[in-house]
Amino acid sequence: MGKKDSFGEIIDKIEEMRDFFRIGDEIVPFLKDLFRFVRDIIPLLTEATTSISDTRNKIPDATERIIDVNQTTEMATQEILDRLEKISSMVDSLGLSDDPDSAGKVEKIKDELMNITYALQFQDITSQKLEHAKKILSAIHEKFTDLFEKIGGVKVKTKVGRKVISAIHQEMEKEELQAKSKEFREKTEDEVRHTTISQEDIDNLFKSGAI
Amino acid sequence: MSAKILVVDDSPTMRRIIINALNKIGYSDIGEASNGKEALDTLRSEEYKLILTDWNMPEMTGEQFVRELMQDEKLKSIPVIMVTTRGMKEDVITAVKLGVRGYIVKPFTPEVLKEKIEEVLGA
Repeated sequence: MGKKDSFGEIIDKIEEMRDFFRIGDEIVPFLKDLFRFVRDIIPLLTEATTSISDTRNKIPDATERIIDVNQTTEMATQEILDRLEKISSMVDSLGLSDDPDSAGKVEKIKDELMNITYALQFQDITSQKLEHAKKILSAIHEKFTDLFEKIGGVKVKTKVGRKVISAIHQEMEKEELQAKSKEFREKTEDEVRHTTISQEDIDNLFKSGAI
Repeated sequence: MSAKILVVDDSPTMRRIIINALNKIGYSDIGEASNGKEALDTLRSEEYKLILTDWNMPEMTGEQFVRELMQDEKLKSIPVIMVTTRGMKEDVITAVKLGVRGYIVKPFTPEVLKEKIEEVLGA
């Protein structure tokens, strides 16, 4: 009876192993498929990571430009207002004329000057719209930074994560991706650069014959 | 006209335009503040008959400013007209609920400004 039991146990173990191998037979193709998927997805993840990084780096620059635009238009509008007020007071002195025709014309000129003043409200309106765009950009920057940190987190948490991230970094070094990144930088390059050289310096450079 | 008006707007350009418009329609006693906080300080030291305030401002928005103003027993009777780029129906409702007496959407014309001021001051 004892022998029969042992035999029965062996048969059971063999059955278990057969089941195990059957599962293995099913799992192996699945795993192969999964690895193929991971291999295919890595270039895409790499491109996404590079794009996020490139875009994220450009956002503070874009935000800075918005601030510049607001400051420049504010200054220019103030200058226009200065001149309008100056013209208006000059016109005021003409209005003292006794000739009703001239006085009427002076009034019309003053009205037109005021209309220009009111039209300058566009500066505040566009400035507030740009301010809104700036807030959106800052929120996107925050999201991208968060996403980037999360990608970094995957790297340290799991072995697979480490390998995938390492593969992504290797992919990033590839020329094709570097070229795409360069293309993005060129496309988004600021054509109105900060003034780093004065007109006088430029004139002197021309005069010196150094260029 | 003698009513002393306080113009609250963070944009120096906008303050200047509003002050020019007020001068044009006959108001010359005008004060200015660049945000709600500054406006409250000014109102606590000088007497004003009317407040024209923007909505979107740093430090203290027009909404927060009016809310605080309405809680101040000495200041809450000063009528407020909102002069803002916010032209949504919900914004107007919020402003009315806060106790704002007039609402002007930028860009405004001096005629509209005059009309609203007269409505509020009962001139």
